[in-house]
Amino acid sequence: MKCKEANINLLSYLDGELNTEQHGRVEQHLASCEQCQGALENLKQLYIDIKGEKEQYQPNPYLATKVWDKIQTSNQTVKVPVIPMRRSTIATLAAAGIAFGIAIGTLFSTSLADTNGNNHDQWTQLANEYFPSDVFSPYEILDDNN
Amino acid sequence: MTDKELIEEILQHSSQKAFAMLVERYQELVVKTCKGFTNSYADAEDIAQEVFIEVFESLEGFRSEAKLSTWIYRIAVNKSLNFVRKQKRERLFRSIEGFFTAKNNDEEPMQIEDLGRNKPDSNIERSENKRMLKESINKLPENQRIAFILSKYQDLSYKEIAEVMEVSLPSVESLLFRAKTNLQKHILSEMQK
Repeated sequence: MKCKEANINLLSYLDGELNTEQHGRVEQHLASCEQCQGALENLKQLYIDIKGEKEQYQPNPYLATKVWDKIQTSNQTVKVPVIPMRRSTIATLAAAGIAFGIAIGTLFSTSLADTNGNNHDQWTQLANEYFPSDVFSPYEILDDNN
Repeated sequence: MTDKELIEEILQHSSQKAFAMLVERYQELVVKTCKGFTNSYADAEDIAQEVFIEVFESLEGFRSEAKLSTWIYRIAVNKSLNFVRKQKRERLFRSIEGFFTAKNNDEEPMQIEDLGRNKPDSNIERSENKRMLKESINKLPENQRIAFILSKYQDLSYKEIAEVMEVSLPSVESLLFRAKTNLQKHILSEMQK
Protein backbone atom coordinates (compact mmCIF):
# COMPACT_ATOMS: atom_id res chain seq x y z
CA MET A 1 0.00 0.00 0.00
CA LYS A 2 1.23 3.48 -0.90
CA CYS A 3 0.97 6.60 1.27
CA LYS A 4 -1.80 8.10 -0.88
CA GLU A 5 -4.06 5.08 -0.44
CA ALA A 6 -3.27 4.83 3.26
CA ASN A 7 -4.01 8.53 3.81
CA ILE A 8 -7.45 8.29 2.24
CA ASN A 9 -8.38 5.55 4.67
CA LEU A 10 -6.93 6.91 7.91
CA LEU A 11 -10.15 8.35 9.41
CA SER A 12 -12.12 5.26 8.41
CA TYR A 13 -9.31 3.24 10.02
CA LEU A 14 -9.77 5.22 13.24
CA ASP A 15 -13.55 4.79 13.04
CA GLY A 16 -13.12 1.02 12.61
CA GLU A 17 -15.03 1.15 9.35
CA LEU A 18 -12.51 -0.72 7.19
CA ASN A 19 -12.90 -4.38 6.39
CA THR A 20 -10.35 -6.81 7.83
CA GLU A 21 -8.21 -6.86 4.71
CA GLN A 22 -8.07 -3.05 4.33
CA HIS A 23 -7.47 -2.63 8.06
CA GLY A 24 -4.53 -5.05 7.92
CA ARG A 25 -3.00 -3.31 4.90
CA VAL A 26 -3.25 0.15 6.52
CA GLU A 27 -1.67 -1.21 9.70
CA GLN A 28 1.13 -2.82 7.73
CA HIS A 29 1.81 0.46 5.93
CA LEU A 30 1.71 2.47 9.16
CA ALA A 31 4.28 0.19 10.75
CA SER A 32 6.84 1.16 8.10
CA CYS A 33 5.90 4.78 7.28
CA GLU A 34 6.74 7.55 9.74
CA GLN A 35 5.00 10.24 7.70
CA CYS A 36 1.68 8.39 7.75
CA GLN A 37 2.12 7.72 11.46
CA GLY A 38 2.39 11.51 11.94
CA ALA A 39 -0.71 12.04 9.83
CA LEU A 40 -2.60 9.47 11.90
CA GLU A 41 -1.56 11.26 15.10
CA ASN A 42 -2.98 14.51 13.75
CA LEU A 43 -6.25 12.89 12.79
CA LYS A 44 -6.43 11.25 16.21
CA GLN A 45 -5.96 14.72 17.65
CA LEU A 46 -8.98 15.93 15.68
CA TYR A 47 -11.14 13.34 17.42
CA ILE A 48 -9.58 14.13 20.80
CA ASP A 49 -10.37 17.84 20.24
CA ILE A 50 -13.98 17.09 19.34
CA LYS A 51 -14.29 14.91 22.44
CA GLY A 52 -12.74 17.70 24.52
CA GLU A 53 -15.19 20.24 23.11
CA LYS A 54 -18.11 17.98 23.96
CA GLU A 55 -16.82 17.49 27.50
CA GLN A 56 -16.50 21.25 28.00
CA TYR A 57 -20.26 21.63 27.66
CA GLN A 58 -22.05 22.93 30.72
CA PRO A 59 -25.80 23.39 30.72
CA ASN A 60 -26.96 26.96 31.26
CA PRO A 61 -29.69 26.89 33.93
CA TYR A 62 -30.94 30.30 32.75
CA LEU A 63 -31.30 29.48 29.08
CA ALA A 64 -35.02 28.66 29.27
CA THR A 65 -35.77 31.87 31.20
CA LYS A 66 -33.72 33.96 28.75
CA VAL A 67 -35.54 32.49 25.77
CA TRP A 68 -38.94 32.87 27.46
CA ASP A 69 -38.21 36.53 28.24
CA LYS A 70 -37.23 37.17 24.64
CA ILE A 71 -40.43 35.56 23.39
CA GLN A 72 -42.53 37.67 25.76
CA THR A 73 -40.67 40.87 24.79
CA SER A 74 -41.13 40.22 21.09
CA ASN A 75 -44.86 39.59 21.69
CA GLN A 76 -45.18 42.91 23.51
CA THR A 77 -43.34 44.92 20.87
CA VAL A 78 -45.78 47.21 19.10
CA LYS A 79 -45.80 46.33 15.47
CA VAL A 80 -46.06 49.33 13.18
CA PRO A 81 -48.77 48.60 10.63
CA VAL A 82 -47.53 48.60 7.07
CA ILE A 83 -49.79 50.73 4.93
CA PRO A 84 -50.17 49.17 1.50
CA MET A 85 -49.50 51.66 -1.28
CA ARG A 86 -51.06 51.74 -4.70
CA ARG A 87 -48.84 51.36 -7.76
CA SER A 88 -49.73 54.88 -8.92
CA THR A 89 -48.61 56.31 -5.53
CA ILE A 90 -45.30 54.43 -5.73
CA ALA A 91 -44.74 55.69 -9.31
CA THR A 92 -45.54 59.30 -8.28
CA LEU A 93 -43.19 59.07 -5.30
CA ALA A 94 -40.42 57.61 -7.48
CA ALA A 95 -40.87 60.37 -10.10
CA ALA A 96 -40.83 63.04 -7.39
CA GLY A 97 -37.65 61.51 -5.95
CA ILE A 98 -35.90 61.48 -9.32
CA ALA A 99 -36.98 65.10 -10.03
CA PHE A 100 -35.72 66.16 -6.61
CA GLY A 101 -32.42 64.38 -7.23
CA ILE A 102 -31.97 66.11 -10.60
CA ALA A 103 -32.80 69.52 -9.07
CA ILE A 104 -30.28 69.06 -6.25
CA GLY A 105 -27.66 67.75 -8.69
CA THR A 106 -28.12 70.73 -11.06
CA LEU A 107 -27.97 73.23 -8.22
CA PHE A 108 -24.85 71.64 -6.81
CA SER A 109 -23.00 71.45 -10.13
CA THR A 110 -23.89 75.11 -10.93
CA SER A 111 -22.56 76.34 -7.62
CA LEU A 112 -19.40 74.27 -8.12
CA ALA A 113 -18.90 75.67 -11.61
CA ASP A 114 -19.35 79.18 -10.22
CA THR A 115 -16.77 78.72 -7.53
CA ASN A 116 -14.23 77.18 -9.92
CA GLY A 117 -14.69 79.41 -12.95
CA ASN A 118 -15.12 82.84 -11.38
CA ASN A 119 -12.49 82.47 -8.70
CA HIS A 120 -9.98 84.60 -10.52
CA ASP A 121 -12.49 87.38 -11.20
CA GLN A 122 -13.73 87.42 -7.63
CA TRP A 123 -10.22 87.66 -6.22
CA THR A 124 -9.24 90.37 -8.69
CA GLN A 125 -12.31 92.35 -7.72
CA LEU A 126 -11.55 91.91 -4.03
CA ALA A 127 -7.91 92.88 -4.54
CA ASN A 128 -8.91 95.97 -6.47
CA GLU A 129 -11.23 96.99 -3.65
CA TYR A 130 -8.60 96.59 -0.97
CA PHE A 131 -5.61 97.73 -3.02
CA PRO A 132 -7.03 100.36 -5.37
CA SER A 133 -3.68 101.34 -6.92
CA ASP A 134 -2.31 99.66 -10.02
CA VAL A 135 0.96 99.05 -8.20
CA PHE A 136 -0.10 95.83 -6.45
CA SER A 137 -1.99 92.89 -7.81
CA PRO A 138 -1.60 89.58 -5.99
CA TYR A 139 -2.25 87.66 -9.20
CA GLU A 140 0.49 89.44 -11.08
CA ILE A 141 3.02 88.59 -8.38
CA LEU A 142 1.92 85.02 -8.44
CA ASP A 143 2.09 84.90 -12.20
CA ASP A 144 5.62 86.37 -12.19
CA ASN A 145 6.86 83.83 -9.68
CA ASN A 146 5.42 80.95 -11.61
CA MET B 1 -44.08 14.11 30.67
CA THR B 2 -43.66 12.91 27.08
CA ASP B 3 -42.70 15.21 24.21
CA LYS B 4 -46.25 15.08 22.90
CA GLU B 5 -47.71 16.10 26.27
CA LEU B 6 -45.19 18.93 26.56
CA ILE B 7 -46.10 20.23 23.12
CA GLU B 8 -49.83 20.13 23.93
CA GLU B 9 -49.25 21.93 27.20
CA ILE B 10 -47.24 24.67 25.48
CA LEU B 11 -49.70 25.05 22.62
CA GLN B 12 -52.87 25.03 24.71
CA HIS B 13 -51.76 26.98 27.78
CA SER B 14 -48.57 28.75 26.65
CA SER B 15 -47.09 27.14 29.73
CA GLN B 16 -43.72 28.55 30.71
CA LYS B 17 -43.07 25.52 32.89
CA ALA B 18 -43.64 23.10 30.02
CA PHE B 19 -41.47 25.19 27.73
CA ALA B 20 -38.67 25.29 30.33
CA MET B 21 -38.86 21.48 30.52
CA LEU B 22 -38.57 21.23 26.75
CA VAL B 23 -35.55 23.57 26.71
CA GLU B 24 -33.93 21.62 29.52
CA ARG B 25 -34.52 18.34 27.70
CA TYR B 26 -33.03 19.47 24.39
CA GLN B 27 -30.52 22.09 25.49
CA GLU B 28 -27.50 19.80 25.31
CA LEU B 29 -28.45 18.46 21.90
CA VAL B 30 -28.90 21.97 20.48
CA VAL B 31 -25.87 23.65 22.06
CA LYS B 32 -23.48 20.81 21.15
CA THR B 33 -24.75 20.73 17.57
CA CYS B 34 -24.31 24.50 17.24
CA LYS B 35 -20.85 24.22 18.78
CA GLY B 36 -19.82 21.96 15.90
CA PHE B 37 -20.36 24.86 13.53
CA THR B 38 -18.94 27.65 15.68
CA ASN B 39 -15.74 28.34 17.58
CA SER B 40 -17.12 29.11 21.02
CA TYR B 41 -19.80 27.96 23.41
CA ALA B 42 -20.92 31.59 23.79
CA ASP B 43 -21.80 31.71 20.07
CA ALA B 44 -23.37 28.26 20.28
CA GLU B 45 -25.59 29.43 23.16
CA ASP B 46 -26.65 32.54 21.26
CA ILE B 47 -27.72 30.35 18.36
CA ALA B 48 -29.43 27.96 20.78
CA GLN B 49 -31.61 30.83 22.01
CA GLU B 50 -32.70 31.53 18.44
CA VAL B 51 -33.35 27.82 17.92
CA PHE B 52 -35.71 27.61 20.91
CA ILE B 53 -37.51 30.81 19.93
CA GLU B 54 -38.09 29.26 16.50
CA VAL B 55 -39.22 26.02 18.15
CA PHE B 56 -41.76 27.93 20.23
CA GLU B 57 -43.03 29.97 17.31
CA SER B 58 -43.29 27.04 14.90
CA LEU B 59 -44.50 24.40 17.33
CA GLU B 60 -48.01 24.63 15.91
CA GLY B 61 -46.74 23.62 12.48
CA PHE B 62 -44.71 20.69 13.81
CA ARG B 63 -45.86 17.46 12.20
CA SER B 64 -45.79 14.64 14.70
CA GLU B 65 -44.75 12.06 12.10
CA ALA B 66 -41.15 13.22 12.56
CA LYS B 67 -39.46 12.87 15.94
CA LEU B 68 -39.28 16.13 17.89
CA SER B 69 -35.50 15.73 18.22
CA THR B 70 -35.12 15.34 14.43
CA TRP B 71 -37.12 18.53 13.90
CA ILE B 72 -35.06 20.42 16.49
CA TYR B 73 -31.82 19.16 14.91
CA ARG B 74 -32.94 20.61 11.57
CA ILE B 75 -33.66 23.99 13.11
CA ALA B 76 -30.32 23.95 14.96
CA VAL B 77 -28.40 23.09 11.77
CA ASN B 78 -30.17 25.81 9.76
CA LYS B 79 -29.67 28.47 12.40
CA SER B 80 -25.99 27.52 12.77
CA LEU B 81 -25.42 27.71 9.01
CA ASN B 82 -27.12 31.12 8.91
CA PHE B 83 -24.88 32.28 11.74
CA VAL B 84 -21.74 31.09 9.96
CA ARG B 85 -22.82 32.75 6.69
CA LYS B 86 -23.57 36.01 8.51
CA GLN B 87 -20.16 35.89 10.18
CA LYS B 88 -18.48 35.33 6.81
CA ARG B 89 -20.32 38.30 5.32
CA GLU B 90 -19.35 40.50 8.25
CA ARG B 91 -15.71 39.43 7.96
CA LEU B 92 -15.78 40.28 4.26
CA PHE B 93 -17.26 43.74 4.91
CA ARG B 94 -14.73 44.37 7.67
CA SER B 95 -11.85 43.43 5.40
CA ILE B 96 -13.16 45.72 2.62
CA GLU B 97 -13.65 48.51 5.14
CA GLY B 98 -10.20 47.82 6.57
CA PHE B 99 -8.66 48.02 3.12
CA PHE B 100 -10.04 51.53 2.54
CA THR B 101 -9.49 52.87 6.05
CA ALA B 102 -5.94 51.54 6.14
CA LYS B 103 -5.18 53.53 2.98
CA ASN B 104 -6.47 56.78 4.43
CA ASN B 105 -5.19 56.21 7.90
CA ASP B 106 -1.98 58.08 8.64
CA GLU B 107 -1.95 57.18 12.31
CA GLU B 108 0.81 55.16 13.85
CA PRO B 109 0.12 51.44 13.73
CA MET B 110 -1.25 50.14 17.01
CA GLN B 111 1.19 48.14 19.08
CA ILE B 112 -0.27 44.76 19.78
CA GLU B 113 1.03 42.99 22.80
CA ASP B 114 2.24 39.52 22.11
CA LEU B 115 0.07 37.64 24.55
CA GLY B 116 1.67 34.34 23.75
CA ARG B 117 5.21 35.36 24.60
CA ASN B 118 5.13 33.97 28.12
CA LYS B 119 3.42 30.77 27.20
CA PRO B 120 5.42 27.66 26.54
CA ASP B 121 5.88 26.95 22.83
CA SER B 122 4.01 23.67 23.10
CA ASN B 123 0.87 25.51 24.23
CA ILE B 124 0.99 27.88 21.26
CA GLU B 125 1.62 25.01 18.92
CA ARG B 126 -1.21 23.08 20.50
CA SER B 127 -3.77 25.89 20.14
CA GLU B 128 -2.56 26.57 16.59
CA ASN B 129 -3.07 22.92 15.79
CA LYS B 130 -6.54 23.01 17.33
CA ARG B 131 -7.44 26.05 15.23
CA MET B 132 -6.20 24.33 12.09
CA LEU B 133 -8.26 21.22 12.80
CA LYS B 134 -11.40 23.28 13.42
CA GLU B 135 -10.74 25.27 10.27
CA SER B 136 -10.48 22.08 8.25
CA ILE B 137 -14.00 21.13 9.40
CA ASN B 138 -15.31 24.61 8.55
CA LYS B 139 -13.83 24.36 5.06
CA LEU B 140 -15.85 21.28 4.19
CA PRO B 141 -18.72 21.76 1.74
CA GLU B 142 -21.95 22.46 3.61
CA ASN B 143 -23.63 19.02 3.34
CA GLN B 144 -20.44 17.16 4.20
CA ARG B 145 -19.93 19.44 7.19
CA ILE B 146 -23.47 18.84 8.46
CA ALA B 147 -23.10 15.08 8.11
CA PHE B 148 -19.69 15.08 9.81
CA ILE B 149 -20.82 17.28 12.72
CA LEU B 150 -23.97 15.25 13.33
CA SER B 151 -21.88 12.10 13.25
CA LYS B 152 -19.00 13.23 15.45
CA TYR B 153 -20.53 15.86 17.75
CA GLN B 154 -23.82 14.05 18.25
CA ASP B 155 -22.83 10.46 17.55
CA LEU B 156 -25.91 10.08 15.38
CA SER B 157 -26.26 6.92 13.34
CA TYR B 158 -26.30 7.08 9.53
CA LYS B 159 -30.07 6.51 9.64
CA GLU B 160 -30.63 9.41 12.05
CA ILE B 161 -28.41 11.71 9.97
CA ALA B 162 -30.40 10.72 6.88
CA GLU B 163 -33.63 11.69 8.69
CA VAL B 164 -32.30 15.05 9.86
CA MET B 165 -30.85 15.92 6.46
CA GLU B 166 -33.79 14.41 4.58
CA VAL B 167 -31.51 12.43 2.27
CA SER B 168 -31.09 8.72 1.57
CA LEU B 169 -28.84 6.41 3.57
CA PRO B 170 -26.34 5.90 0.69
CA SER B 171 -26.14 9.71 0.38
CA VAL B 172 -25.10 9.96 4.03
CA GLU B 173 -22.47 7.25 3.53
CA SER B 174 -21.14 9.10 0.52
CA LEU B 175 -21.20 12.50 2.29
CA LEU B 176 -19.31 11.12 5.28
CA PHE B 177 -16.76 9.32 3.12
CA ARG B 178 -16.10 12.51 1.14
CA ALA B 179 -16.01 14.59 4.32
CA LYS B 180 -13.33 12.33 5.80
CA THR B 181 -11.30 12.30 2.58
CA ASN B 182 -11.40 16.11 2.36
CA LEU B 183 -10.51 16.49 6.03
CA GLN B 184 -7.53 14.18 5.65
CA LYS B 185 -6.36 16.05 2.55
CA HIS B 186 -6.62 19.41 4.29
CA ILE B 187 -4.92 18.29 7.48
CA LEU B 188 -2.10 16.55 5.62
CA SER B 189 -1.48 19.56 3.38
CA GLU B 190 -1.40 21.82 6.44
CA MET B 191 1.12 19.48 8.06
CA GLN B 192 3.40 19.71 5.05
CA LYS B 193 3.47 23.55 5.12
